[in-house]
Amino acid sequence: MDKILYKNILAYFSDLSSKRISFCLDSLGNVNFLDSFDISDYKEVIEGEDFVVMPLLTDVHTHMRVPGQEEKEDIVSGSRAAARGGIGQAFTMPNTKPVVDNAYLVDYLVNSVNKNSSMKIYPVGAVSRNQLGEELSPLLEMKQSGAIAFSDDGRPITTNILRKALIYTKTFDGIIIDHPEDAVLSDGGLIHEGRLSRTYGIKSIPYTSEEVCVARDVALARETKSKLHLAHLSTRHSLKYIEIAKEDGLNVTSEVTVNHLIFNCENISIFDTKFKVNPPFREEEDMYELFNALKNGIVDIICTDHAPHTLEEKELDYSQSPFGTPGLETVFAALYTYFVMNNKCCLEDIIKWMVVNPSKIFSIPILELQNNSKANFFIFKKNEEFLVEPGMFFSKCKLSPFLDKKLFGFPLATFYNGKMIYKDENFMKTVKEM
Amino acid sequence: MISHLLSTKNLDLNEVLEIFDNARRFLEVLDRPTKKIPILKGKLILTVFFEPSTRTRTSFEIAGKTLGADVVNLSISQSSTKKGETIKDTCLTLNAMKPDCIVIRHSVSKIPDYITNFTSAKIINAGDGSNEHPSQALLDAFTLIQHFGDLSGKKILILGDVLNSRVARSNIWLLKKFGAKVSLCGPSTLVREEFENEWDVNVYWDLDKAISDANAIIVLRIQLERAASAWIPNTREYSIFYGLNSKRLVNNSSVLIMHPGPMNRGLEISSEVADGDNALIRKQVTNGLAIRMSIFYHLLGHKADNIVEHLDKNNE
Repeated sequence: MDKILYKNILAYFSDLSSKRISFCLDSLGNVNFLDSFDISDYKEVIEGEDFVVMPLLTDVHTHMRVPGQEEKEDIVSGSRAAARGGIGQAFTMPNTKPVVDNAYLVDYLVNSVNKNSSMKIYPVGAVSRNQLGEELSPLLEMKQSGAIAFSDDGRPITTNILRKALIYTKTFDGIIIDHPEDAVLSDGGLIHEGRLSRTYGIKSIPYTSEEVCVARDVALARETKSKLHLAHLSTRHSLKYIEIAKEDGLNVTSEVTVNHLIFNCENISIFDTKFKVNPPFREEEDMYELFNALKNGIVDIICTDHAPHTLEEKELDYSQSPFGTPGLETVFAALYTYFVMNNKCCLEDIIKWMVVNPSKIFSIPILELQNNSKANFFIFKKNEEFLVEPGMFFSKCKLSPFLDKKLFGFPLATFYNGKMIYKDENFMKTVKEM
Repeated sequence: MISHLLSTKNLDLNEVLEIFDNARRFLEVLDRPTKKIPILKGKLILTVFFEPSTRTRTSFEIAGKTLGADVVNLSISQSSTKKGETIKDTCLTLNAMKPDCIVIRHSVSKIPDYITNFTSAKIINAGDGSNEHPSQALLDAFTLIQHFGDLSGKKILILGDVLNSRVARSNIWLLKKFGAKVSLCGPSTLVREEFENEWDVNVYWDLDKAISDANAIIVLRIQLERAASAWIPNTREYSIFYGLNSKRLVNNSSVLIMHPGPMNRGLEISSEVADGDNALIRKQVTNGLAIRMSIFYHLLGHKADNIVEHLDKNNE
């Protein structure tokens, strides 16, 4: 019998409980909780104080670059990257080539593409045709084909289309995700407008570029009472509008990327294209305030905004290189290292921000360890340190902002629907490599 | 000692004084009948300008040739780089031609720093975006020192489009090293209030106040082709409130006037002021040659060679 015993392992659950538990994992990926066991029945025993089993994470903001930009990422590389990061479900943004703005492409992603994925892909459809902000895409038809939400991500939804879309989504209780940015204020800016942009005379993106768009979005959400989710917040100045919206009971939710909780324009090399992201890394105070907003429930979700590009593109000088950096592999390890290990939050918080809240807001299932079920979990080991190097990335884009940094908490194995979708080479040595 | 001239920020004051000392010696060469001291004979200097320029490039070219170096000029229009070749490849290609020095101008800040990764040549930043123009600042400070001897406590006003000016930034970092008191004046869109604390300078939006106790004024060009135009309503309004004319200077008639050129006469500076007795604008140009010779010598010269011997030997 190729059964593996997980003996007295600390497991966390989506009801925010945790307990030490022993369970058996058979070769078909079935989990059975055990009250007693005979070790000789098992091929391998996983035991140790430091092992932790976690629910699979959800990333509500990923760019898988499918269809049409497979040189940057494809579903095999992207889903393996997600698996390596402990992610079981991911929302893919529609700014591909062609844009996912019709039911045919949504269907292609839900059915054909998902077949090649090691984890679950939920496509986000474009709000406007070709993301031009001129006319609505067939939202209802895309919803029927399986679109999880709608966004013109990569650019803000134009005001007129956003208002129409918010009113239209009432028909089917849909959610609009906006990328809050006033493109006129950003005006080709490359970095956050602040001390550094002024010192070096660099075209810059003021924080108000985001703030005025968030204010607009909240106003339209108030008028329409529809569901609006704000993507990748970067500045503390956006938070007051969301706080008031929540106090007033509006259907406004929001997310922040893990990277914007860790990096700011002063603690990075701003001319290093690994750190060129949109919205840009802003100030230290923004980092702290965004994290506090998560703790206070003003911001609901942590996402990756995994935005891979080719080496050739990221090798361009910082003015020409495209915005975006990979994030699937490192999201949990970064949160664990920077926040859990520094006692700024606990694992339950991460479960709230990356499992429970995404499930609530977008009505998707929770994937976690359950008795008599297919395995859905990832396991990591406390105090096990990894040097982040290009070789550990499954994403085609290996230029992570965490390169050469030491992170703890990388998943050692990830199981999705009973299937082992990632395994560290030094973990469960009796189990064959994937 | 610096290995490239990218910025005035990281320059050591003693190094600057050494560049100035040699510039004084080179200045004398420019008045000789035979303007040549082949101290850099056999050295290859490339000037690579991704932005159009006449005076700066000519100044570097004459400086290099006066010192006996071979100077080759390349103009690379940025539209052609957009067609394919990256700046990295351009630099790797140029580097394969074995230059000793590359003088580069580019529309993007920090590109000269970036290309140091792809060439073994010494890099001289001849202007990068709105970031820096260190040789201009060196010649400006040199010109001011010619007149004041010591800049400590001297009040230098920089007037105009500071926001988009690489001349302003390089000057601010350098003049402060000499102990000068730097103030900035212009409309609040071009002279941001944040500059005051971030750069430790005085910010004025009222030109008369700014002029009142200035010892010298560096007037910046309003670059109509650049972003400046977007930050001011129109040139007429700018000229009325921030154009330097003789009426403005009634209460401070001794103030020295500088301008990096090319001037928009009647816009940021009146002809009366530009051609007046206190204007050092032509002197700046000549000093610019000497300073650029001195920069080349500093980066490329064999330190063992005695500069004085060279000067004597070739003085015929």
